[in-house]
Amino acid sequence: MPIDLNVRILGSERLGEFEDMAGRLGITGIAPSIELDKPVVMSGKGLALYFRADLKGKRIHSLRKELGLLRRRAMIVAFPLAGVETSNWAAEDRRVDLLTLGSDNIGRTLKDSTAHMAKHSETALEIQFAAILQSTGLNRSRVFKGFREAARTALDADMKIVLSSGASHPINMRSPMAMTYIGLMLGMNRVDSREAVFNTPQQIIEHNERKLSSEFVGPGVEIVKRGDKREKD
Amino acid sequence: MKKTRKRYLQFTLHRNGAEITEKQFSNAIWSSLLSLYGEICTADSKFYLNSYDAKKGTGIFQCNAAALEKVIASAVMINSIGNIRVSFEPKKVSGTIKGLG
Repeated sequence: MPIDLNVRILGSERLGEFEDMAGRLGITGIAPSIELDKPVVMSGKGLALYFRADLKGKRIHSLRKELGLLRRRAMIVAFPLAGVETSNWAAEDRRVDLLTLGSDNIGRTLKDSTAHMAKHSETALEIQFAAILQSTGLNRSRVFKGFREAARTALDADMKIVLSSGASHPINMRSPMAMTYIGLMLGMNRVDSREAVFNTPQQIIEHNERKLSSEFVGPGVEIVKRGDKREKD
Repeated sequence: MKKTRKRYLQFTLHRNGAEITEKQFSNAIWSSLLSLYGEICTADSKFYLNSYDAKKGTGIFQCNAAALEKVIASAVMINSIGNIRVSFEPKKVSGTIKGLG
């Protein structure tokens, strides 16, 4: 089930256009940038909408606070790659799902050490390809350089990669098959590229759905059956 | 000269505007291929647009099997043709036109 984990919808009135485009392209779920009432909402057109929160804090203290407030409400929590200190914190924290690289932070690099930490906490690298589509010539070459280096570092560290559109207009979305070809351009092989489009986003969603359910207690501990309430004799 | 293996691709071109002509679409692919992979790869690709329905945005093109990934990637990277924004969707690849169904 292909899911686009990042579409930048500027207002909820434009959500319908994105739903139509996702339907035409065969995408089954999107994570829009608008705030939703619940972690997952089914749209009238049968598309799953996942509440995505991007952490905006600049320091670890404020990021921790922000994360604490958002984690139980959002299906996806992402942190845009920034300085080493904050990136390492996000990579190490299991509550953060994605380390993001997109048009807002093209110059940022993913360090080997950050990638290894992210691998252990199952945080994935998200590459938003809208930045590639919107640039040309030498600028596009610079974007490719940044993205390809980050993808190489992530793959070497066995860190998972997610490809998302980061589209601010429905026509900037791409079909899942088209996205796999963008993955190839970023230096991934066919298997990794398919994984980044079809499997990893789905696995993150399934993992978080389990964590957000009322039956989840902690890693490896779940309520499987609730007993009757009986009064003591 | 050794015969090269061909591949055919069925595609849909989504657009938000007026119809894109066969010539415009074909030129856009050539330009994107040239920009991304250079002159030698563009020459070796043997890209040819077999059929194209401008109204529906559907069609079939053929190219050298070795260059298929590059040609599709180049098409996926096309963001706009003229003033019309587009999204290229590869559908099915086959070694024969008949195989595309």
